Amino acid sequence: MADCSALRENLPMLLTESIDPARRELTHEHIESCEACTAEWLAYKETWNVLDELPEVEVPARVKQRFLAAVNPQAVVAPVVAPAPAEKADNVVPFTRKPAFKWVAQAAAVALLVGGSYFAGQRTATPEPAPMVAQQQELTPARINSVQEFSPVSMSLAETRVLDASTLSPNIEGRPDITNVKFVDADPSDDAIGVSFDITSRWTVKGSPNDKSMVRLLSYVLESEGQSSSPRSDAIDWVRQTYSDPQYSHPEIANALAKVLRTDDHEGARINAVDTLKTLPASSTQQTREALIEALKSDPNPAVRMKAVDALAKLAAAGERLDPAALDMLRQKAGQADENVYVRVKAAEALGNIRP
Amino acid sequence: MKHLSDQELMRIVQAGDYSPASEIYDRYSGRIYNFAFRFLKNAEAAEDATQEVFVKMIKHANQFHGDAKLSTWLFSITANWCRDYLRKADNKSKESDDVLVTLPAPAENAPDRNLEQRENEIRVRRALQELTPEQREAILLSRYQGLSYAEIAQIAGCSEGAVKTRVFRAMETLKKALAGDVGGGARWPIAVR
Amino acid sequence: MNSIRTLSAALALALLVASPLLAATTKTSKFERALPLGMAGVLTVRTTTGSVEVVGVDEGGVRFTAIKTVTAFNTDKEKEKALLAEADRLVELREAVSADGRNALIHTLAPAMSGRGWRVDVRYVVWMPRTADLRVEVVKSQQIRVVNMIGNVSVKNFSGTIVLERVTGVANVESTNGGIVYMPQQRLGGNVTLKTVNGNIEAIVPDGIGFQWAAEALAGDVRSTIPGVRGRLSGPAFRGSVNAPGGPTLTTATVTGNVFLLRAGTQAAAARSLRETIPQAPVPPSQQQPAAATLAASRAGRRDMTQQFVQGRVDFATNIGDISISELRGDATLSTGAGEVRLGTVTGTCRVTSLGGPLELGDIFGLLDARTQAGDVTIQAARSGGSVQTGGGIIRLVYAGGPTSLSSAGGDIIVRQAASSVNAETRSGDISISVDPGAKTQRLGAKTAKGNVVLFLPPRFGADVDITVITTDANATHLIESSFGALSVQREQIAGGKTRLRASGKINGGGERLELFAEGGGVQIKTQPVPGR
Repeated sequence: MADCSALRENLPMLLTESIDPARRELTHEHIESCEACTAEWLAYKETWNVLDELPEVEVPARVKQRFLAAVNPQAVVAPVVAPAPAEKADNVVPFTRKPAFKWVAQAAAVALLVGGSYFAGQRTATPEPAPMVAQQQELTPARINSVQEFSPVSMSLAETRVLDASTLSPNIEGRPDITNVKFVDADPSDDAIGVSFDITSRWTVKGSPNDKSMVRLLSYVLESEGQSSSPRSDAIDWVRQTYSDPQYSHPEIANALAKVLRTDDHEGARINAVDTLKTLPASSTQQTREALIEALKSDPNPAVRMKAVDALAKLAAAGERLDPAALDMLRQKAGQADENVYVRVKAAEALGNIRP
Repeated sequence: MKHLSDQELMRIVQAGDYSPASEIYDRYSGRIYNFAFRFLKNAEAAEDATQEVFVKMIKHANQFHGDAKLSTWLFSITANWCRDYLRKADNKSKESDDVLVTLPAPAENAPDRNLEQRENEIRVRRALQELTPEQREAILLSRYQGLSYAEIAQIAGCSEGAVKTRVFRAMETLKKALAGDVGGGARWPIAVR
Repeated sequence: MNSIRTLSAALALALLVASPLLAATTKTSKFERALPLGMAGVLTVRTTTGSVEVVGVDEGGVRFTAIKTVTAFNTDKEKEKALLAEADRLVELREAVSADGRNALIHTLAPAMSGRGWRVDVRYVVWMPRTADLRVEVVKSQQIRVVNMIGNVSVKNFSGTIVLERVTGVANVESTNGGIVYMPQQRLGGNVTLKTVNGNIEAIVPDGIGFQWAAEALAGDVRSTIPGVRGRLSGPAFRGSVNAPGGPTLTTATVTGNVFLLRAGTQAAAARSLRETIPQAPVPPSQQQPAAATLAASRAGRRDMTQQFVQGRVDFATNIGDISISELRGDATLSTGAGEVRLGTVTGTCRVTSLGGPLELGDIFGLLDARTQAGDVTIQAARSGGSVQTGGGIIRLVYAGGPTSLSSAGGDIIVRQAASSVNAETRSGDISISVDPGAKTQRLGAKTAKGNVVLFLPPRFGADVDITVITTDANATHLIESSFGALSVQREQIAGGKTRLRASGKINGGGERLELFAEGGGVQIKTQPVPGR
């Protein structure tokens, strides 16, 4: 048995074939003769194969831009300052502003901005958006019916312009009024996601869920209360599906959801927001905790309170340190005679999991 | 420039002409970025790492010896960057926080293949985070970059024997987290949404 | 600061703790101090971790001893020494008296310990005038014990047991995860409140003394060995008197623990549940419990039900508890006062009532009647239809095989495949209904007072459509969208500065009535994606 453990250290090298032939033979011989080591070897191979499930992610295009700019500053024109007209058309999404937001300076109607001229040059080479468009046709089957005074919400698919999120600046200026938001996943096998929306014309921004610009855009969509006729919860559901994967965890998304939870008067949206916060790996920001505490304290919808207490309980069970405000709220809820019993019991259970 | 070897490109850079920068970046940025992303589990840091590694490569091109492999050199710079990053106290705590607040994904999604693959991805990512930084570095370079133990030793600044031990320990941990019993316990029959 | 003398200097010793890998170094220091305090003063004792024992005596002034133990753990011995020194320096024992001599304070100053690589424990023993008032606050205590006090006593902690012995004045005890033991050993001299969340409460009183008693153990039980308990139970809460009406009130409340009121000399094991000895008060109509839940009232505490397979009818009710049945060949009547209900297949009728908690139901063959006062309701199939209600939460129904009505007091409603008529109503939330691809026509109703309605219909579905949308935006367009033929739309101003849009007409030549209402959102009627996608 002693020589089992010595040989086992060779198993990883066997996997990579980085072992000298003599020892390889010896090790294989041993594996064949030893039941325990055969099991080990199979487990090693399985583990090695499972590791293959981690896909390669693409480097956001802006990294190259930053690198080249750092190495050779003159080579990259700052497009924000002086965009060539043709590039502007390609890279600038013109956001018009809601009349309601008059406090916003009437400055440029430019919001999502621009990669570098370097990428302007490359844009023609970006992958064809064709599959995404096809998908959109399926996702938005509505032929919008124009009746009398109703101006049609024209959404000519051909007009959709596709932008790569990694070429955009993450800053959204002002409060552009974006409508008719649709989420698209042109190719489920890759990591990229896409968001389509109307401003003055239809735009689709696609990119990695990790991309800063994508995150910012999604946060903006979540927080926008603009009356759209598509279900509010769609956006949240979609965010949950995308961002419950720890690799995409992003506090900004969590904070946007926290805002929905605090301010949205659509109860379905609030329930979905708190549900999603519960599943987001990065949900534990100060802002989200405060939103959860606030929801537990005063949300009129009992389902929201239930889920808020569940979320706090989950944080407590995971060993997170809850601040005194959270503890006080849990205590208050556990003892509150007119609170739903389920909420009270869950609050008590959450406290029971806390070891100060 | 596509036909030039790494060494030839680097010689141009060493002569003070940075025009091969873009080509070298295209050759290696994917590997560097993925290594850093998996190592640090943080996309933003991986972006910074990638950018800075290539900037370093250009600025310190003279430290590159023509007989070495460019990939090994780049991975050395990257690994150093990542270790420094983890060493900074606040980053460290961020990382451990990440692990603490990792909540299980909802089981309510339809169990199609895509999701299963995604679950596996998540499991692998979590398992990798259970390793020590040294073990993670070793396994990432060995499994995903296909580097030899000698190269890894050079990058990690340790002996080959140490690499062997690190990979072995890493595999032991990963095996516990990933091999066998994939489905877990009994599942509730309802899966709606 | 009134430090008289420090008895003993530090003595450092290294000892091996349980884990052979992790040695720890410990340093213990002992302090002995005294403070002036009048017979009517107030003493406050405040510390983070450790234990506190306070004994009331018949003389003025406060004396105490404190043992401070700091422990550092690190594999590197040098670092460990440094940590120990840091801990010793940062954890300070202090005491103070106000200028008028009426208030005294004994406290431990310590920073948050988590992640520092050391911990501290302070044990106090305090002697004080028994007529003075006492306040004790400890976050994490091994034990807090207060003995022989007449003055007002208030004790708070997060965890650890609190014992009051011969404390006969007004007392206020609040814990979160700790238990409370109260032993006055004579008549109560004032109101006493004992509250915890996750601990038991035990009050042991002398035979024959009279007082008012209020008790609640939400998920536990209230039990007593005193025959002279009279009063009323309403749900988990008891109000009444012990031995004789009148006198001070003893309040005992816990959420997950139990409450015991024992006559001195009797054991908790001999105590009987008040639910057996006290009649239930009639429930006010506003919080009317389902019949089955009231049946369960005779059984106290948490009671779960988990079954893989049941043949035949099931009637089960619990006050607090989860219900889980994977397969049931028969009818089900189930209720819980608070908990989660999960059912797999039910071949018969299914009646589920919850006063709080989500419902997850599988394939229900018989008529379904599911209601919860709070929580999501998820149903795979209601093959014979039925009724689903939640007082707040999302309703998701995959398949409706018979006429089904769904209602939420706040939350979305989603129906994936309506093969029969469906009526859905929510106070705030979106409604999305997909009709069975094979359906030619059927009645559908959807109403949301805040949100959107989206309907997915088969391309040839026929219906008489009646859509109403109320909006505050007088110029709103595109709030009604239809992928079918044109509908005629009327717009009118109504009260409250709102605008009502009404669209009606026949689609595919007409059919059953399709009545849709949305306020603060819009209505979309879409054709279903082509099958086979």
